Amino acid sequence: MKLEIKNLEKKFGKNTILKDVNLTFTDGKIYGFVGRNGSGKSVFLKLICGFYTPTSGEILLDGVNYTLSNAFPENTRALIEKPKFLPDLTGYENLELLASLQNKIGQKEIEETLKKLNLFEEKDKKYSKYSLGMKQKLGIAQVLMEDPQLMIFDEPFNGVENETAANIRELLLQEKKKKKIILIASHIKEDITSLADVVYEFDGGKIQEITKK
Amino acid sequence: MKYILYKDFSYFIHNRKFILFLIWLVPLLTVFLYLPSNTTTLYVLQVGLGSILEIQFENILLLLMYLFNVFSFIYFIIELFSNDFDEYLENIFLRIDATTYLRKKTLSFLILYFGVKIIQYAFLLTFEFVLTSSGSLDWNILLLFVSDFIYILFLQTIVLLVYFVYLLSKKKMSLLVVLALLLGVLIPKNVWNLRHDLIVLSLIVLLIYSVIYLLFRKNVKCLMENV
Repeated sequence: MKLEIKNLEKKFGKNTILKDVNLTFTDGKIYGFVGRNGSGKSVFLKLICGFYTPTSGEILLDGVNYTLSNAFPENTRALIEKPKFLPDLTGYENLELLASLQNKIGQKEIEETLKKLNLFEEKDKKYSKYSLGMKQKLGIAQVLMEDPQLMIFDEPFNGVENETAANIRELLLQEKKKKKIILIASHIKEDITSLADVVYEFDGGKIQEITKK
Repeated sequence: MKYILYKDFSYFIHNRKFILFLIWLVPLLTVFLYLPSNTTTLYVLQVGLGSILEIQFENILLLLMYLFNVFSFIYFIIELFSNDFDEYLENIFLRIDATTYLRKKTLSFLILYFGVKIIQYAFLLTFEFVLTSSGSLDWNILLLFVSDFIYILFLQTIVLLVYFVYLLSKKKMSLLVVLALLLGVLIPKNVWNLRHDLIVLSLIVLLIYSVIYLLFRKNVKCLMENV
Protein backbone atom coordinates (compact mmCIF):
# COMPACT_ATOMS: atom_id res chain seq x y z
CA MET A 1 0.00 0.00 0.00
CA LYS A 2 1.17 3.52 -0.81
CA LEU A 3 -0.35 6.85 0.13
CA GLU A 4 0.79 9.88 -1.84
CA ILE A 5 0.05 13.52 -1.16
CA LYS A 6 0.79 15.80 -4.11
CA ASN A 7 0.81 19.60 -4.01
CA LEU A 8 -1.90 19.59 -1.38
CA GLU A 9 -3.40 22.88 -0.37
CA LYS A 10 -6.32 23.51 1.99
CA LYS A 11 -7.98 26.83 2.63
CA PHE A 12 -11.02 27.73 4.69
CA GLY A 13 -12.21 30.97 3.19
CA LYS A 14 -9.11 33.15 2.89
CA ASN A 15 -7.34 31.26 5.65
CA THR A 16 -4.68 28.88 4.35
CA ILE A 17 -4.33 25.87 6.62
CA LEU A 18 -2.00 23.75 4.50
CA LYS A 19 0.05 24.64 1.46
CA ASP A 20 2.28 22.82 -0.96
CA VAL A 21 2.31 19.53 0.91
CA ASN A 22 4.11 16.70 -0.88
CA LEU A 23 4.54 13.47 1.05
CA THR A 24 4.66 9.74 0.37
CA PHE A 25 3.80 7.11 2.94
CA THR A 26 4.71 3.48 2.40
CA ASP A 27 3.66 0.39 4.35
CA GLY A 28 5.53 -0.99 7.31
CA LYS A 29 6.21 2.45 8.78
CA ILE A 30 4.89 4.75 11.43
CA TYR A 31 4.71 8.42 10.49
CA GLY A 32 4.45 11.01 13.21
CA PHE A 33 3.07 14.56 12.98
CA VAL A 34 3.77 17.15 15.58
CA GLY A 35 2.77 20.76 15.92
CA ARG A 36 1.00 23.05 18.31
CA ASN A 37 -2.79 22.92 18.65
CA GLY A 38 -4.46 24.51 15.64
CA SER A 39 -1.46 23.98 13.36
CA GLY A 40 -3.48 21.93 10.88
CA LYS A 41 -2.77 18.36 12.01
CA SER A 42 -6.42 17.37 12.38
CA VAL A 43 -7.35 19.04 9.08
CA PHE A 44 -4.55 17.11 7.38
CA LEU A 45 -5.76 13.80 8.82
CA LYS A 46 -9.37 14.61 7.89
CA LEU A 47 -8.22 15.32 4.34
CA ILE A 48 -6.59 11.89 4.22
CA CYS A 49 -9.78 10.33 5.58
CA GLY A 50 -11.68 12.07 2.77
CA PHE A 51 -13.83 14.12 5.14
CA TYR A 52 -12.53 17.35 3.64
CA THR A 53 -11.89 18.16 0.00
CA PRO A 54 -8.50 19.65 -0.89
CA THR A 55 -8.58 23.18 -2.28
CA SER A 56 -5.99 21.92 -4.74
CA GLY A 57 -3.70 18.93 -5.09
CA GLU A 58 -4.23 15.21 -4.85
CA ILE A 59 -4.30 12.41 -2.33
CA LEU A 60 -3.73 9.01 -3.92
CA LEU A 61 -4.15 5.64 -2.28
CA ASP A 62 -2.44 3.00 -4.41
CA GLY A 63 -2.64 5.42 -7.31
CA VAL A 64 -6.33 6.20 -6.93
CA ASN A 65 -7.28 9.82 -6.21
CA TYR A 66 -10.32 9.32 -3.99
CA THR A 67 -10.62 13.01 -3.14
CA LEU A 68 -12.12 13.77 -6.56
CA SER A 69 -15.09 11.51 -6.02
CA ASN A 70 -17.31 11.18 -2.99
CA ALA A 71 -15.56 7.98 -2.00
CA PHE A 72 -13.61 7.49 1.21
CA PRO A 73 -10.29 5.61 1.41
CA GLU A 74 -10.73 1.85 1.53
CA ASN A 75 -9.32 -0.33 4.27
CA THR A 76 -8.75 2.68 6.50
CA ARG A 77 -9.75 3.36 10.09
CA ALA A 78 -9.18 6.45 12.19
CA LEU A 79 -9.43 7.86 15.66
CA ILE A 80 -9.68 11.60 15.35
CA GLU A 81 -9.67 13.88 18.39
CA LYS A 82 -11.67 11.77 20.85
CA PRO A 83 -13.37 8.36 20.77
CA LYS A 84 -17.12 8.40 20.17
CA PHE A 85 -19.11 5.55 21.68
CA LEU A 86 -22.55 5.01 23.10
CA PRO A 87 -22.54 5.51 26.88
CA ASP A 88 -25.21 2.93 27.76
CA LEU A 89 -23.53 0.05 25.99
CA THR A 90 -20.59 -1.96 27.22
CA GLY A 91 -17.19 -1.71 25.57
CA TYR A 92 -17.79 -5.00 23.77
CA GLU A 93 -21.30 -4.05 22.63
CA ASN A 94 -20.00 -0.77 21.23
CA LEU A 95 -17.37 -2.53 19.15
CA GLU A 96 -19.86 -5.19 18.04
CA LEU A 97 -22.31 -2.53 16.92
CA LEU A 98 -19.63 -0.64 14.99
CA ALA A 99 -18.46 -3.87 13.37
CA SER A 100 -22.05 -4.55 12.26
CA LEU A 101 -21.75 -1.67 9.78
CA GLN A 102 -19.54 -3.85 7.59
CA ASN A 103 -20.04 -7.34 9.01
CA LYS A 104 -16.42 -8.22 8.27
CA ILE A 105 -15.54 -9.50 11.71
CA GLY A 106 -17.25 -11.28 14.58
CA GLN A 107 -16.94 -12.00 18.27
CA LYS A 108 -13.54 -13.70 17.96
CA GLU A 109 -11.79 -10.72 16.35
CA ILE A 110 -13.41 -8.20 18.70
CA GLU A 111 -12.38 -10.17 21.78
CA GLU A 112 -8.84 -10.63 20.48
CA THR A 113 -8.53 -6.87 19.96
CA LEU A 114 -9.84 -6.19 23.46
CA LYS A 115 -7.28 -8.63 24.86
CA LYS A 116 -4.46 -6.90 22.99
CA LEU A 117 -5.44 -3.61 24.63
CA ASN A 118 -5.86 -5.17 28.08
CA LEU A 119 -9.55 -4.29 27.98
CA PHE A 120 -10.98 -7.80 27.91
CA GLU A 121 -11.63 -7.87 31.66
CA GLU A 122 -13.60 -4.64 31.29
CA LYS A 123 -15.52 -5.62 28.17
CA ASP A 124 -18.85 -5.97 29.98
CA LYS A 125 -18.56 -2.65 31.77
CA LYS A 126 -20.65 0.24 30.45
CA TYR A 127 -18.70 2.76 28.40
CA SER A 128 -19.92 5.57 30.65
CA LYS A 129 -18.11 3.87 33.56
CA TYR A 130 -14.81 3.68 31.68
CA SER A 131 -11.88 5.87 32.75
CA LEU A 132 -10.40 8.34 30.26
CA GLY A 133 -7.57 5.93 29.50
CA MET A 134 -9.96 3.03 28.93
CA LYS A 135 -12.08 5.17 26.60
CA GLN A 136 -9.00 6.03 24.61
CA LYS A 137 -8.00 2.35 24.43
CA LEU A 138 -11.47 1.42 23.19
CA GLY A 139 -11.10 4.12 20.51
CA ILE A 140 -7.85 2.48 19.45
CA ALA A 141 -9.57 -0.93 19.51
CA GLN A 142 -12.18 0.24 16.99
CA VAL A 143 -9.33 1.24 14.69
CA LEU A 144 -7.45 -2.06 15.03
CA MET A 145 -10.29 -4.60 15.15
CA GLU A 146 -11.06 -4.81 11.43
CA ASP A 147 -7.37 -5.12 10.53
CA PRO A 148 -7.14 -2.05 8.24
CA GLN A 149 -4.09 -1.31 6.10
CA LEU A 150 -4.08 2.41 6.85
CA MET A 151 -4.50 3.56 10.47
CA ILE A 152 -4.86 7.16 11.49
CA PHE A 153 -4.59 8.40 15.06
CA ASP A 154 -5.04 11.96 16.22
CA GLU A 155 -3.75 12.50 19.77
CA PRO A 156 -4.00 8.79 20.74
CA PHE A 157 -2.16 9.35 24.03
CA ASN A 158 -4.56 11.99 25.30
CA GLY A 159 -5.48 11.34 28.92
CA VAL A 160 -3.72 7.98 29.15
CA GLU A 161 -1.31 7.02 31.90
CA ASN A 162 2.32 6.18 31.16
CA GLU A 163 1.75 2.44 31.43
CA THR A 164 -1.20 2.55 29.02
CA ALA A 165 0.73 4.77 26.63
CA ALA A 166 3.56 2.23 26.63
CA ASN A 167 1.03 -0.55 25.92
CA ILE A 168 -0.40 1.43 22.98
CA ARG A 169 3.09 2.13 21.61
CA GLU A 170 3.95 -1.57 21.79
CA LEU A 171 0.74 -2.45 19.95
CA LEU A 172 1.37 0.05 17.19
CA LEU A 173 4.90 -1.31 16.71
CA GLN A 174 3.38 -4.80 16.33
CA GLU A 175 0.90 -3.47 13.75
CA LYS A 176 3.75 -1.81 11.86
CA LYS A 177 5.39 -5.23 11.47
CA LYS A 178 2.22 -6.39 9.66
CA LYS A 179 3.01 -3.94 6.85
CA LYS A 180 0.52 -1.28 7.81
CA ILE A 181 0.78 2.45 7.25
CA ILE A 182 0.30 4.18 10.60
CA LEU A 183 -0.12 7.95 10.87
CA ILE A 184 -0.07 9.53 14.33
CA ALA A 185 -0.47 13.18 15.26
CA SER A 186 0.21 14.74 18.62
CA HIS A 187 0.94 18.15 20.04
CA ILE A 188 3.48 16.53 22.37
CA LYS A 189 6.66 15.80 20.44
CA GLU A 190 7.94 13.21 22.93
CA ASP A 191 4.83 11.04 22.33
CA ILE A 192 5.79 10.69 18.72
CA THR A 193 9.58 10.76 18.40
CA SER A 194 10.18 7.47 20.20
CA LEU A 195 7.62 5.68 18.06
CA ALA A 196 7.66 7.06 14.54
CA ASP A 197 10.06 6.20 11.75
CA VAL A 198 9.66 9.64 10.26
CA VAL A 199 8.46 12.73 12.11
CA TYR A 200 6.98 15.78 10.42
CA GLU A 201 6.32 19.15 11.96
CA PHE A 202 3.40 21.44 11.08
CA ASP A 203 4.26 25.09 11.00
CA GLY A 204 2.55 27.95 9.20
CA GLY A 205 0.70 25.65 6.80
CA LYS A 206 3.87 23.81 5.80
CA ILE A 207 4.87 20.29 6.81
CA GLN A 208 8.57 19.67 7.30
CA GLU A 209 10.41 16.44 8.01
CA ILE A 210 12.33 16.81 11.25
CA THR A 211 13.63 13.33 12.05
CA LYS A 212 14.06 10.05 10.31
CA LYS A 213 15.21 6.74 11.79
CA MET B 1 -28.67 -0.03 10.24
CA LYS B 2 -28.41 -1.31 13.81
CA TYR B 3 -25.54 1.06 14.62
CA ILE B 4 -27.21 4.19 13.22
CA LEU B 5 -30.53 3.43 14.90
CA TYR B 6 -28.93 2.70 18.25
CA LYS B 7 -26.78 5.82 18.04
CA ASP B 8 -29.72 8.08 17.19
CA PHE B 9 -31.84 6.52 19.91
CA SER B 10 -29.05 6.95 22.44
CA TYR B 11 -28.59 10.58 21.38
CA PHE B 12 -32.27 11.32 21.98
CA ILE B 13 -32.35 9.62 25.34
CA HIS B 14 -29.19 11.27 26.64
CA ASN B 15 -29.26 14.71 25.09
CA ARG B 16 -32.82 15.55 24.22
CA LYS B 17 -34.94 13.87 26.85
CA PHE B 18 -36.35 17.21 27.96
CA ILE B 19 -37.73 17.97 24.48
CA LEU B 20 -39.05 14.40 24.25
CA PHE B 21 -40.92 14.85 27.52
CA LEU B 22 -42.32 18.14 26.25
CA ILE B 23 -43.47 16.47 23.02
CA TRP B 24 -45.27 13.81 25.02
CA LEU B 25 -46.53 15.83 27.97
CA VAL B 26 -47.34 19.34 26.70
CA PRO B 27 -50.27 18.09 24.54
CA LEU B 28 -51.78 16.60 27.71
CA LEU B 29 -51.62 19.96 29.41
CA THR B 30 -53.20 21.62 26.39
CA VAL B 31 -56.03 19.10 26.42
CA PHE B 32 -56.50 19.56 30.14
CA LEU B 33 -56.79 23.33 29.81
CA TYR B 34 -58.77 23.41 26.61
CA LEU B 35 -60.97 20.36 26.74
CA PRO B 36 -64.58 21.35 26.22
CA SER B 37 -67.34 19.12 27.47
CA ASN B 38 -69.21 16.68 25.23
CA THR B 39 -66.26 16.20 22.96
CA THR B 40 -65.02 13.30 20.83
CA THR B 41 -61.74 11.43 21.05
CA LEU B 42 -60.76 12.77 17.66
CA TYR B 43 -61.31 16.33 18.87
CA VAL B 44 -59.17 15.71 21.95
CA LEU B 45 -56.29 14.57 19.75
CA GLN B 46 -56.75 17.51 17.41
CA VAL B 47 -56.65 19.96 20.29
CA GLY B 48 -53.64 18.29 21.88
CA LEU B 49 -51.64 18.44 18.68
CA GLY B 50 -52.98 21.74 17.48
CA SER B 51 -53.87 19.98 14.25
CA ILE B 52 -57.16 21.75 13.59
CA LEU B 53 -55.51 25.09 13.62
CA GLU B 54 -57.09 27.86 11.68
CA ILE B 55 -55.00 30.92 12.29
CA GLN B 56 -57.05 32.65 14.94
CA PHE B 57 -54.89 34.41 17.45
CA GLU B 58 -57.49 34.20 20.17
CA ASN B 59 -56.63 30.47 20.16
CA ILE B 60 -53.07 31.20 21.16
CA LEU B 61 -52.72 27.88 22.96
CA LEU B 62 -53.69 25.97 19.84
CA LEU B 63 -51.27 28.00 17.80
CA LEU B 64 -48.40 27.43 20.23
CA MET B 65 -49.16 23.72 20.44
CA TYR B 66 -49.23 23.44 16.71
CA LEU B 67 -45.93 25.29 16.23
CA PHE B 68 -44.28 23.27 18.99
CA ASN B 69 -45.47 20.02 17.45
CA VAL B 70 -44.12 20.98 14.03
CA PHE B 71 -40.85 22.63 14.98
CA SER B 72 -39.71 20.05 17.52
CA PHE B 73 -39.82 17.34 14.86
CA ILE B 74 -38.15 19.56 12.27
CA TYR B 75 -35.40 20.31 14.77
CA PHE B 76 -34.82 16.59 15.38
CA ILE B 77 -34.12 15.71 11.76
CA ILE B 78 -31.57 18.51 11.38
CA GLU B 79 -29.89 17.68 14.64
CA LEU B 80 -29.57 13.97 13.92
CA PHE B 81 -27.76 14.64 10.64
CA SER B 82 -25.52 17.41 11.94
CA ASN B 83 -24.58 15.30 14.95
CA ASP B 84 -23.23 12.54 12.69
CA PHE B 85 -21.21 15.06 10.71
CA ASP B 86 -19.90 16.68 13.88
CA GLU B 87 -19.07 13.61 15.91
CA TYR B 88 -19.18 10.32 14.08
CA LEU B 89 -17.42 10.84 10.76
CA GLU B 90 -14.70 8.23 11.16
CA ASN B 91 -16.98 5.68 12.80
CA ILE B 92 -19.46 5.79 9.93
CA PHE B 93 -17.92 6.99 6.69
CA LEU B 94 -14.77 4.87 6.77
CA ARG B 95 -17.07 1.85 7.04
CA ILE B 96 -19.98 2.60 4.72
CA ASP B 97 -20.41 4.81 1.67
CA ALA B 98 -22.45 8.00 1.60
CA THR B 99 -25.56 6.61 -0.11
CA THR B 100 -25.73 3.55 2.14
CA TYR B 101 -25.46 5.94 5.08
CA LEU B 102 -28.30 8.12 3.81
CA ARG B 103 -30.58 5.11 3.30
CA LYS B 104 -29.85 3.73 6.76
CA LYS B 105 -30.14 7.16 8.35
CA THR B 106 -33.49 7.82 6.71
CA LEU B 107 -34.86 4.49 7.87
CA SER B 108 -33.51 5.05 11.37
CA PHE B 109 -35.08 8.50 11.50
CA LEU B 110 -38.43 7.21 10.27
CA ILE B 111 -38.46 4.48 12.92
CA LEU B 112 -37.64 6.96 15.70
CA TYR B 113 -40.07 9.57 14.44
CA PHE B 114 -42.81 6.95 14.17
CA GLY B 115 -42.04 5.74 17.69
CA VAL B 116 -42.14 9.23 19.20
CA LYS B 117 -45.43 10.00 17.42
CA ILE B 118 -47.05 6.72 18.48
CA ILE B 119 -46.12 7.41 22.10
CA GLN B 120 -47.46 10.96 21.76
CA TYR B 121 -50.82 9.65 20.53
CA ALA B 122 -50.88 6.85 23.11
CA PHE B 123 -50.37 9.37 25.92
CA LEU B 124 -53.12 11.61 24.57
CA LEU B 125 -55.60 8.76 24.18
CA THR B 126 -54.84 7.36 27.62
CA PHE B 127 -55.15 10.82 29.14
CA GLU B 128 -58.49 11.32 27.50
CA PHE B 129 -59.77 7.99 28.81
CA VAL B 130 -58.61 8.90 32.30
CA LEU B 131 -60.04 12.38 32.11
CA THR B 132 -63.42 11.64 30.60
CA SER B 133 -63.85 7.94 31.40
CA SER B 134 -65.05 7.60 27.84
CA GLY B 135 -63.60 7.87 24.39
CA SER B 136 -63.56 5.67 21.38
CA LEU B 137 -61.06 4.42 18.84
CA ASP B 138 -62.13 4.78 15.25
CA TRP B 139 -60.64 5.11 11.78
CA ASN B 140 -60.59 8.90 12.02
CA ILE B 141 -57.92 8.69 14.71
CA LEU B 142 -55.75 6.59 12.43
CA LEU B 143 -56.43 9.05 9.63
CA LEU B 144 -55.40 11.97 11.83
CA PHE B 145 -52.22 10.10 12.80
CA VAL B 146 -51.32 9.42 9.17
CA SER B 147 -52.10 13.01 8.11
CA ASP B 148 -50.09 14.43 11.00
CA PHE B 149 -47.18 12.02 10.34
CA ILE B 150 -46.99 12.68 6.60
CA TYR B 151 -47.48 16.45 6.89
CA ILE B 152 -44.63 16.82 9.40
CA LEU B 153 -42.51 14.46 7.28
CA PHE B 154 -43.21 16.74 4.33
CA LEU B 155 -41.99 19.76 6.31
CA GLN B 156 -38.96 17.82 7.57
CA THR B 157 -37.86 16.87 4.05
CA ILE B 158 -38.26 20.48 2.87
CA VAL B 159 -36.23 21.82 5.78
CA LEU B 160 -33.57 19.11 5.35
CA LEU B 161 -33.25 19.98 1.68
CA VAL B 162 -32.94 23.69 2.46
CA TYR B 163 -30.43 22.89 5.22
CA PHE B 164 -28.22 20.98 2.77
CA VAL B 165 -28.50 23.75 0.17
CA TYR B 166 -27.72 26.24 2.94
CA LEU B 167 -24.53 24.36 3.82
CA LEU B 168 -23.46 24.26 0.19
CA SER B 169 -24.46 27.80 -0.67
CA LYS B 170 -22.58 31.04 -0.27
CA LYS B 171 -25.74 33.14 -0.09
CA LYS B 172 -26.78 31.83 3.29
CA MET B 173 -28.87 34.79 4.42
CA SER B 174 -31.07 34.81 1.33
CA LEU B 175 -31.71 31.07 1.78
CA LEU B 176 -32.85 31.63 5.33
CA VAL B 177 -35.29 34.23 4.08
CA VAL B 178 -36.58 31.79 1.44
CA LEU B 179 -37.00 29.09 4.11
CA ALA B 180 -38.85 31.47 6.43
CA LEU B 181 -41.21 32.48 3.62
CA LEU B 182 -41.69 28.85 2.57
CA LEU B 183 -42.53 27.75 6.09
CA GLY B 184 -44.73 30.80 6.50
CA VAL B 185 -46.80 29.56 3.57
CA LEU B 186 -46.66 25.83 4.33
CA ILE B 187 -47.05 25.74 8.09
CA PRO B 188 -50.42 27.38 8.69
CA LYS B 189 -52.44 24.31 7.78
CA ASN B 190 -55.38 22.57 9.25
CA VAL B 191 -53.73 19.14 9.34
CA TRP B 192 -57.04 17.38 9.61
CA ASN B 193 -58.10 18.83 6.26
CA LEU B 194 -55.00 17.32 4.62
CA ARG B 195 -56.47 13.82 4.97
CA HIS B 196 -57.89 14.14 1.48
CA ASP B 197 -54.48 14.84 -0.07
CA LEU B 198 -52.30 12.21 1.56
CA ILE B 199 -51.28 10.48 -1.66
CA VAL B 200 -50.22 13.75 -3.30
CA LEU B 201 -48.37 14.78 -0.15
CA SER B 202 -46.59 11.41 0.00
CA LEU B 203 -45.52 11.73 -3.63
CA ILE B 204 -44.15 15.21 -2.95
CA VAL B 205 -42.19 13.83 0.03
CA LEU B 206 -40.71 11.12 -2.22
CA LEU B 207 -39.80 13.71 -4.85
CA ILE B 208 -38.07 15.98 -2.33
CA TYR B 209 -36.27 12.97 -0.84
CA SER B 210 -34.97 12.03 -4.31
CA VAL B 211 -33.51 15.52 -4.67
CA ILE B 212 -31.92 15.22 -1.19
CA TYR B 213 -30.47 11.83 -2.19
CA LEU B 214 -28.88 13.23 -5.37
CA LEU B 215 -27.58 16.31 -3.58
CA PHE B 216 -26.13 14.22 -0.77
CA ARG B 217 -24.46 11.73 -3.10
CA LYS B 218 -22.74 14.46 -5.08
CA ASN B 219 -21.77 16.80 -2.23
CA VAL B 220 -21.30 14.70 0.89
CA LYS B 221 -17.77 16.00 1.54
CA CYS B 222 -18.78 19.65 1.18
CA LEU B 223 -21.64 19.01 3.59
CA MET B 224 -19.26 17.44 6.12
CA GLU B 225 -16.90 20.35 5.83
CA ASN B 226 -19.53 23.03 6.25
CA VAL B 227 -21.56 21.63 9.15
